[in-house]
Amino acid sequence: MTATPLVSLLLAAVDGDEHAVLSTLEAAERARAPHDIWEIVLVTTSDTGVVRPWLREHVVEAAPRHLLLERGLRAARGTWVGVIGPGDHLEPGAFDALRERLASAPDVDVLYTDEQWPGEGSSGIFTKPSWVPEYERGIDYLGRLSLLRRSLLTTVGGFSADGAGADEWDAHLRCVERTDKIQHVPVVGVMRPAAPALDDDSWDAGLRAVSRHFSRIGQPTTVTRSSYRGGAVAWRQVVDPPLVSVVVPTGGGHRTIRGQDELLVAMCARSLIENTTYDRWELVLVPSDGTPPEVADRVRAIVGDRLVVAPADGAFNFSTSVNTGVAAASGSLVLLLNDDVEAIDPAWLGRMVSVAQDPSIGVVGARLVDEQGRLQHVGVVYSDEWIPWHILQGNPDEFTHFGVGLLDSDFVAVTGACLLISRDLYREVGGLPEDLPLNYNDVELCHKVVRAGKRVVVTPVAHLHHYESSTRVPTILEDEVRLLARRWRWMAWRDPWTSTRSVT
Amino acid sequence: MAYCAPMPIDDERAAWLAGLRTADRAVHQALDGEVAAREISALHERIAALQAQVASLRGSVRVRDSLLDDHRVAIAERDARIDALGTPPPVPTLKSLLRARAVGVVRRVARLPRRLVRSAGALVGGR
Repeated sequence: MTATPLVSLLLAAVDGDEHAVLSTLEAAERARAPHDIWEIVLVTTSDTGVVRPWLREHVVEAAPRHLLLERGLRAARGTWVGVIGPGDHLEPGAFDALRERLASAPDVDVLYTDEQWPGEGSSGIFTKPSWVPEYERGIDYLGRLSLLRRSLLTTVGGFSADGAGADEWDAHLRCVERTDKIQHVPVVGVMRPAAPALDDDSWDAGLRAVSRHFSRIGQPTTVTRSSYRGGAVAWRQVVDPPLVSVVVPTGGGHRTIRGQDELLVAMCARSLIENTTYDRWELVLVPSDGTPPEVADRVRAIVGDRLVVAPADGAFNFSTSVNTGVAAASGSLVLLLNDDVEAIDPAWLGRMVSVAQDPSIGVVGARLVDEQGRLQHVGVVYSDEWIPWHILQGNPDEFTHFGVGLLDSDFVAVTGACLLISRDLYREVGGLPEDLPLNYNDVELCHKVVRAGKRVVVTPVAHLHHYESSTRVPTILEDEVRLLARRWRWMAWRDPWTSTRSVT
Repeated sequence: MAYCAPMPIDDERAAWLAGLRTADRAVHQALDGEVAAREISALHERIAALQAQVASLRGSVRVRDSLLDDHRVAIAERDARIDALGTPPPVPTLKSLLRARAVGVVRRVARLPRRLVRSAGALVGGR
């Protein structure tokens, strides 16, 4: 090979991988274009006997995988390096896409593709979002094929013993800490022979990699296993628990729940008392003009001196009500909560406060489930018609697609039915827009937060019931759609989850 | 904590709300001035992603064509071999001579680069 390779693919193989390696090389030869300038750096314990101009084989003594990869990294010549495994097949056309992307964005440091393995339905087709940092802290969604700028990977330590068992996740995390030049190419890069192998040891290795990541970025965090197998949940330390003002606008609506007529806001307040471990909260109740006066008394009887009443004057405007409530709040954090939401998991508020400790996160949302046990909210995405929509809505609770719905992740918006934000940030971005009195005011608030440079994250660990639209008919006006589009169409076009729409 | 939590006095709350509305207006005014540039930038990004997808498709088609060519050559070789084995000893005709010659060509060019093999396959396949 005469030209300097653009990309070096590192392939580490040990005894027993011989057939899988040959299969990988055969597929690589088939997919290779005459003008391609990538190479495979094979570090193996047994000679393959294959000679190709694009293959550089290093036969070595048996060693842990991270050492084999490190050896490959030292031998690599490409500007970018990626890892493939024995049995992985480069997908025809994948490198054409990568070459195109690298040509148009030569300063990119991390470039990753979708991937695939045999599986029923879409269970083996991992179409990925654009860069969403929080998701990478839950699983290594960057996965394969990820190209990392070689100089960056070398600078952050390459493949180290610390990362053993989760080599690629560890390397990915160390790279993304140092750059924001991260891009997704929405094509399948590799076909893997099976889903990524996972056992208890590699799961724990992944948790350790995530824990070290948080140490490096200066966030004291405890990392535990997620309910999604292989996933991680990061519990950021809350040193001095802040007061959370729970702002609940209410018209005093009723609804039959579990066979009983309920004053919704009373149900909501009771659940705060009974199902909230986090103790530093006050309830800011925002009655409207038409709210019966006894509603505040009912709530006071439940929450006692935690109650603040902040009436909103004039015709009902959800945005004005919430803004009025936040104005009356004493907490440094405010939680917007609909009166038809019921806390069911005592950890919910502590979880949301923990996530909010990350200074790059501006808004935290929760997992909401309707009374039939179906997902109502785990994040807002844009539909094919560029209308805000709830991802995975209507699926059974705990349904997931590669961890989405169970792992924390970034979105362009979350529902205002349960939304945590700092009072200062709320003030800085102008709160809820009063020209959107009913719908999309929460979407706009989140978009303003994203525009201000902060992230919007849903943590499904915070799990609540939402008896949605109990107090009004859920109608969306065309004017609301138009207004949102006029201001924020560009945000919709940048929704990181658009390429996953077909499967989520 | 008192029975009724302390509430900011009304003046403070009104001032805070006024400030909030001012901030909201400021954000929207700033947004009005930047929407066009942000939309164009977002569309550039979408097009770049789509171009990569198109490149991928073209690459897939190239590999498909290559496989189809290999397939065609293999079929030609197989048919030629079957013909050769099944043909009774020579009562040479012009046709059989041409066919035998074509088989020979295929065998010889099999040692040449694949592109030439494909050309030969096309020649034989077109007989």
